[in-house]
Amino acid sequence: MWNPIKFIFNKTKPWFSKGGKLEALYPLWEVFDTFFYTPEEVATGKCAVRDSIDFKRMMITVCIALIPCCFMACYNTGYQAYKTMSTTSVAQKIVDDKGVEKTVVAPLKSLPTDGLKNWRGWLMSCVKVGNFDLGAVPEKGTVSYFSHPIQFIVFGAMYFIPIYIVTFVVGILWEVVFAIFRKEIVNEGFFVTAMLFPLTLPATIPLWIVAVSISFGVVIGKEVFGGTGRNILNPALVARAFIFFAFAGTITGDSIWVPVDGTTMATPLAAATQQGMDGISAVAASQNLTDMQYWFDCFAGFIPGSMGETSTLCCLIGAAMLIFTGIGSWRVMLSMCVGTGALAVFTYFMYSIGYTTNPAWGIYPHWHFVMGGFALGCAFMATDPVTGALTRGGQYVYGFLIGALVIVVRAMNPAYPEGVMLAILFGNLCAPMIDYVFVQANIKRRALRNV
Amino acid sequence: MATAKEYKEAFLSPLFATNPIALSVLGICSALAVTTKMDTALTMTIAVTSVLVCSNFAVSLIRNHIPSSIRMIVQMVIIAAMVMIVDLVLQAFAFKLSKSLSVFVSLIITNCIIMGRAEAFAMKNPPLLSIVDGLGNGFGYGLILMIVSFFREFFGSGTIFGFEVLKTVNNGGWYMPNGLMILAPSAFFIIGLIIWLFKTINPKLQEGEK
Amino acid sequence: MSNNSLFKTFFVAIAVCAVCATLVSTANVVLRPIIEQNKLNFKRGNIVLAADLVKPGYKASDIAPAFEKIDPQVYDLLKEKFVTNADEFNPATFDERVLMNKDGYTLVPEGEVKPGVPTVPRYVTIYLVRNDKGELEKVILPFFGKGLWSTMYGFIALNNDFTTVGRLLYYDQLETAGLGGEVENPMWADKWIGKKAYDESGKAELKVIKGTVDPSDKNAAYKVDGISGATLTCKGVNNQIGYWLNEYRGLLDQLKAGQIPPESKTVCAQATPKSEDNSKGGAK
Repeated sequence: MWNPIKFIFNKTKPWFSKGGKLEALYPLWEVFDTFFYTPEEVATGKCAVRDSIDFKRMMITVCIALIPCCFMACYNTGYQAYKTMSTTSVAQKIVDDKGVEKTVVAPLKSLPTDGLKNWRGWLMSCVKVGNFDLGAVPEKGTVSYFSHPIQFIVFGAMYFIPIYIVTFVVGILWEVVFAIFRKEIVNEGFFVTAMLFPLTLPATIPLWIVAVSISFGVVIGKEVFGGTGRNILNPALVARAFIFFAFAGTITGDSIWVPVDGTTMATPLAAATQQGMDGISAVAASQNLTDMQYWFDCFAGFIPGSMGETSTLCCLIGAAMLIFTGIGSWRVMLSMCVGTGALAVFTYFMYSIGYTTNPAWGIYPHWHFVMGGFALGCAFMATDPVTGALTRGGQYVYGFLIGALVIVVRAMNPAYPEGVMLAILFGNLCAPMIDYVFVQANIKRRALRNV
Repeated sequence: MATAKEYKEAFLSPLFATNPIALSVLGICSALAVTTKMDTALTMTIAVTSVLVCSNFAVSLIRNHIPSSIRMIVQMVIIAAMVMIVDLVLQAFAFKLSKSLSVFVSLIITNCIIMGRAEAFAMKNPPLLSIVDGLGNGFGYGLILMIVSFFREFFGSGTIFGFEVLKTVNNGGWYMPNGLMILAPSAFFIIGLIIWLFKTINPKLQEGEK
Repeated sequence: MSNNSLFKTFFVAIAVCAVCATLVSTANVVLRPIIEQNKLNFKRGNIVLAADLVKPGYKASDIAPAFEKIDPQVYDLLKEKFVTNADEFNPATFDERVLMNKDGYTLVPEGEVKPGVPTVPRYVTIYLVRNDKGELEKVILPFFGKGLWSTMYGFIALNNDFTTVGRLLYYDQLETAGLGGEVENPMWADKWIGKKAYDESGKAELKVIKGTVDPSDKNAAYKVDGISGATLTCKGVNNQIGYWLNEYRGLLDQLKAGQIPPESKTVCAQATPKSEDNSKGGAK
């Protein structure tokens, strides 16, 4: 049977192979070729196959494990926006019956007339099937967790997908440029980075910042060290750290989490680091929830925050997949939780015996696990096999170090509310040293045994 | 007498081939500290160059009489005296700039380039050649400083030499300044990229595999 | 003679030191007056700027004529009264920063809001601006305290209702350039103009908030826009302003009651200015 795809690749192959006109662009051709078909190189000498796992399969597994988080990223972004739009009143310009233009404060009626006069609102208002109007804002008080699932997902996706596309295109572009100059083939490692990075961003992040920061992440975080596998820092986190320091206003604060203009809503973590448990209770009370109910909100992910980090539940599902397939290290995840737990208990203990100057010390330990980027970082970032520790003992130390640092940055340092990103980057830097110590210790021990 | 070729070599080679910052990685501390603005970087370049030229000249002048046992201390005393004079001159004639440079002018004393050139060059070469070497190294240092400070000031504050090019959001414009450029690590990134560029253009500078 | 002989070693060491010492001290003697003038001009420039006698971007030659209109007074924060005896301190040359760490001349900050420094000077120079009729128009108060990294020094000028801010400016600080350092940005300093320092009950209410001030807020007159990315510097600013406005309440009450000291120039003309050396220690 004639296969058009195979035909194209076979036809174009000579152009890109050695001596062809487009030889320099071979890495680009190879990307698409191996996307559809298996690589043409075969081992000719002796080879030992230990496992069916290869780099590509590993990366794809991580991507699949990230799908629940991506889903929740879209769902929660939409949910937060709809909840805000249906409960807040905003100033609107209207023309009264005498023809005078005036500003009134009124509940929103539909998407395009609120602050969202952009293509998203317009696109959604176009979809009307019978009684179903995608662009209508629900009546006041009718938005609940599962009330308008289609609207939530469509609305959230219109924020998530552009960020994802920009990340992917810009990142791959850099990968191809470096592959061409280095005469290597493009590596699949970027697929995971491209999926993780948008999850760590708020929905309102300007796309040009996404492009600039992922360029920094890929080039400075990875390519200068020699590309995937040689990088010492997680490129997605390097990119996020870049935004954090370069354009702090777009990734911290109260006004960026919900994509409705003029909305200020603190994340539970920001409230907690500033006012301790009182801050959390105040946020919970403003939504008519008890503290415990709000904890479950945080656990499930129905809170404002960076898109993919809100849901601890989805991260747990992803973590389970990674552990089951043996790709993510359960040792790192476990020891990171232990590290955070231990320090959180310590700070809480100190707070309860009278060290009350810093309210962040008084946060109940179980809250630390559901707030901020802890779950996402623990399941997907700290476990990155390239940048994390690889020796078994080292993984315990590495995880514990990160976990403990999360609390140090979050609770003890008043300047940065979110500690997970910085803690993991610091852990990445220490990982080679930790591994070295454990390898040397092992060599010594074995040398003694064999005297 | 040194030949014209030696003079040329002493002046040109520190600009690129043996650039003190990019290749010897000396004088990095001040390169991080004073490069947020171009005017401070330029002042620092002038200060370092004049100290370097004077100390190279003075050390070279008495090089045949310096006892080896107190060699370093004699160089240090000369450098320290030059730095104090430069500091006073700056305070007298460029008060605002000396305020923004604050302690970093006095810290020129510890700038490794100056001590390094005194020890490595001025101790072995005649005064005139040492002056040219001082000029060359000062300009080599300044070249990197100016490049780094250009990027840091342009992207970090939207200005060049304090002259507004991109109107920032804080001043009612559109440009969102890159806060990372104002922090010291950005100088590391830029110097790193410059070294990368230098070594790519001139592969002879690359260190071999061990 | 060998370079390494004992005699030559000593000779070279002493000769180099002597030459260098001569050079440095010559430079110091020649340049010191210019440097002192620069320092004085810098401080005076900020005072006349705070008093709105010159506009931002003023020239060095504008300072001296504008400073003519300024009446410096030394104020005792402990006894809450002006030091009218010019023999003790000459207001024209008094510099509280010289006395900042001197025993007997300091106070330990008390109260709910503290400026973040262990001690503050007992005597400060405040500056009065009179109009042509001799009525008090403005009072300029120095203040300082810890920001995130550094001690920040500034002036706050109050109009003659003693609560409306004429201008607030920082002239010496080493906060993060571009973030906390933005306290020196004139755009930000302009936001203080017209704000109220005290509420009706006389409590110091003025503070920097996070984000921008909502103009419809009934307390908007006590609030100033925060600097994004400089939360901790702004916290320091609030502590300094809170502490010093509290500290100056007694002074402002006296001025409000009309107890305005005579112009220091007339007093000084009669007294022998013997404590001029106050300024000699310099800022270092």
